[in-house]
Order: sequence, then structure tokens, then C-alpha cells
Amino acid sequence: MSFQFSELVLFRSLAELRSESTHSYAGMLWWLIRPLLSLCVYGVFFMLIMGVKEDHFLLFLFTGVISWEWFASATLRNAGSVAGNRPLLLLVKLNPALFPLSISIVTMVKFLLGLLLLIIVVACFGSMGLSSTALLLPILILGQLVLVCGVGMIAASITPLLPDFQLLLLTVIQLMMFLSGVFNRIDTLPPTLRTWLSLNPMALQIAQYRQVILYHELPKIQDMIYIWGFGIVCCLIGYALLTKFRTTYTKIW
Amino acid sequence: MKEILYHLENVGVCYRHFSILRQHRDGEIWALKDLSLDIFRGETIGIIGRNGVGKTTTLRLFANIISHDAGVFECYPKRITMLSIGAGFDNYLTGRENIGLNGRLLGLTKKRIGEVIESIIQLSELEEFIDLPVRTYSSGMRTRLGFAIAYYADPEVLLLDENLGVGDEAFQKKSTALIKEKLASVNQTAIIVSHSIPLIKEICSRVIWLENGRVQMVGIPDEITRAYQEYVRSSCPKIANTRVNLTK
Repeated sequence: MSFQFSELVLFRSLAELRSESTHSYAGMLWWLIRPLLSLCVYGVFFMLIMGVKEDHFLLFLFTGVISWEWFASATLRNAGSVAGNRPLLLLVKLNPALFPLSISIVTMVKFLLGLLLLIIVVACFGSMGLSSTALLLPILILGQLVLVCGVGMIAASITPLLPDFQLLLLTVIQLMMFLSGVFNRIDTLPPTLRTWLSLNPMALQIAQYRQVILYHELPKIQDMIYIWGFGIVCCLIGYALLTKFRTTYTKIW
Repeated sequence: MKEILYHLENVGVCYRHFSILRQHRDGEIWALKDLSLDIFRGETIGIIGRNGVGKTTTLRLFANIISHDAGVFECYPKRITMLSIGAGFDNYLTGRENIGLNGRLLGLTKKRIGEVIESIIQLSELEEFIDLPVRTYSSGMRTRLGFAIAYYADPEVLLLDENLGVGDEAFQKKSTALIKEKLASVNQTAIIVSHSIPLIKEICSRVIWLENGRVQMVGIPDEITRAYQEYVRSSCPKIANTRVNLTK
């Protein structure tokens, strides 16, 4: 990947953030309001309707919700990104990886704002406080970025060839939400189920965020390696697919 | 010896009704067949032909936007730009921000954009409006901005699809003159699709006449355009007669 292409990806991401912020009156504030609203919806359901009484459940939930929303919104948007930009691909010779990569960065910036809010609440208002384990956050965030980019590039490469994939993906993402420990701890599940769920990198990723922010624990090194490895392999596959099919996307009818 | 930029041998391009589950053999359209040609640096090639004969497909092939499905296609230049006016504009960004975005999409570096941004603004005649969102622009203003960016993209090979001059009458004259000036330079290679025979005769060094996805003739502009015009007249007698009746 050349320096000029990386610069284009970054510039396009910033341009999109700037453009999105002018779409509504509240602008950038929406990037904070949206996760807070999601939190309210889940909070009402779990605490008022289901009667969950655990300590710090809202913080536990918020950590899961923001990291999951980054993954889910990026993957769904990425899936349609190359197909949606076909008119541009018919006019300019472009590396189609530009679209999923810039969407992954845009959604990361929104996640970072949610994360900042979480850290402020934990540090200032909770009884838990923050410990030095939170210093590991940049490594975890980068790990998730690699994962989001990889999964996004694969999804983006498939949709133009098989449009039904995007519709199917919506259901897969919904199912994955319940299998990623957004609402519950994976380690409280039966061992067989836990083994299967620990193959899901997002389940491990969400658990790691909670470990370093809420429980002041160090994440398991093998989990980190697994997430990074999974992400890197997806990136290589996704990039190769997009490169292979670049000139095919413009010829499909 | 002239430097070769493209080498094509029996090149074919096929559009398919793509399905990942099975290949629809009946859903194949060969838009281009048996195209054999060499293009050298500094040439201005004109492509003529009626609608739907594969002119735009040929341009996309030269731009490396689509791939070939048959034959040998060798492409040596690195910076090829299709003069696509305003491709990828974001309506919510200002004109200035769109210069940054569009310029990068067309392959300009950050440094180069910094050097030419004021010239782009000046050429587009949008000095007063450049910091307003593009959604507030008229279509003419958008076209002017797109043209100015593409003009400064400075490619090795410039590809033009009908749009030599753009905008209102005054800007059309200005942009046509600028493109002609660019094409006159020794190292500038260009491939132009146009229905304007006088323009093709004026600026092209060689002309390709396409018919049903195949090359009908290649050669010097006067000869090819004359043959093409005779062919059009003879193949459309009804249209010619109607015109005669109307003038009566």
C-alpha cells in the first residue's frame, strides 16, 4: 500500500467525518448522542424490564454496546461500499479498498468519542476508578481496527458479486450481537458454549475492553494474538479479493 | 524511436450477467472484439462510431477501469486520467475541500494540490464561492470546478469522452482552448471519443472508427472521417430523406 494511497484513505475519512457533521443541526454531538441513546434502550430493557440488579451493569453494557456498534455499523456499511461507489469506479481508476478502509476509520472515530465518555465516567464518577491497565487500550483499539478493516474488505468484495450477501449479513450481524457478550459475560456460560464463543474475535475483544477498563485486569496474551491474527488474515484475504475483482466490479450488469 | 504506451492484440471485452452460482453463457455481450493497435507517446487518437459500438468501453479499457477478456493488452503509462467532471464530489463539503478530495482521487499528491489549488480556483472562476458547500453550486459551477481540477491532474494519458469544453458559452470556449493547447504539447498523449467530426479532424493525429465492437478502419483523420460520413449517409437514407423533406 503506497504512501499516496494511505494519504487518500486518511483524507477521505476526514472529509467524510466533516461532511457527516454538517448533515444535522447537532452535528458531531450525534456521535455521542447515538451510543447514549442505544445505552438508554438496552438499559431500560435489561434493568427495568428484565430486572438485572448487578453492580455497574450500565458501564458493563456501555462498554459492550460501543465496541459492538463500531464493528456492526462498519461491517454493514462496508458491505455496500464498493457496490455503492460503482459509478465512481467507472470514471476513475481506484483501489476499491479505499471505501471499506475509510469507513472503518470513520466509524472508529465515533467509537473513540463513546470510549472517551466511558473513561470519563469510570474515572470521575464510578467507585471503581481507572488503573494502569487502561494504558493497553491503544493496542486493543488498533486490534479492533485491523479486524474491522479485514472483515469489512471481505464483505465489500463479496456484495457486488452476490448482492444477496448484504441482506443475509444483516441477520448474521443480529445473531452475532447475542454471541459476542454485549449483554452478558462469556465466562459465566456453560464450558462447551464458551469454547465456541471464544472463537468469535468480537466476543474476546469486548471482554478485553471490560478487563482493562472495568476490572483492572491484564488481557490474556493469547486472546490478543488471536484477534490480531484473525484481523490480519481477513485483511490479506479482503485486500486480495478487492484487487482481483477490481476490474470485474465495473463490468457486472 | 517513438515510445510505445499501449500494445493491443486481438483484444476483446465482454460484459457478463454475473452470478456467483452459475455462469450465464447467454448473458454475455462482447462490447469489443479483435482490437489490435499500438499507441505511442504524444499521439492524439480519436475514436468515432455510432452509439453503442463500444467507444466508451474502449476508453474504460485504456483507463484501466475494466479488464480485457481476450487477446493481449499491455499498458505502460502509470498516470491515466479520464476527464470525468466532478466525479466523487461531496455535496456537503466546500469547493476547496472538494478540490483536495477530487484531486487525490485523480492521483494528485498533497504537495501538488497545495501548489495548484489557487490556479484551480482561478480557472474555475469560483473565487467568491470556493468556501461554500458544493450543494449550493449550480450545475455549471460544479462542472467548472470539476474541469479545473481535471485540467491540473496532469496525466500521461488524457482520456476525453465527448466533453472537450464545458459550462456556459464563454467557459466552453476557454476550456476548449485550454484542452487544445494541452494536446498540442509534444509529450501529451490523448484518446478522444467524439461525434464532432470537425474537432476530430482538427486535433487528432490518428482516428479509429468502431462498428459493432470491431475496428472498421484506422488511419489519418481526413480519410477515416470521410469514409465514416459516407457510411453513415448510406446506412441511414431514411434520416437523410426526412431532413431533405424538412428543408423543403
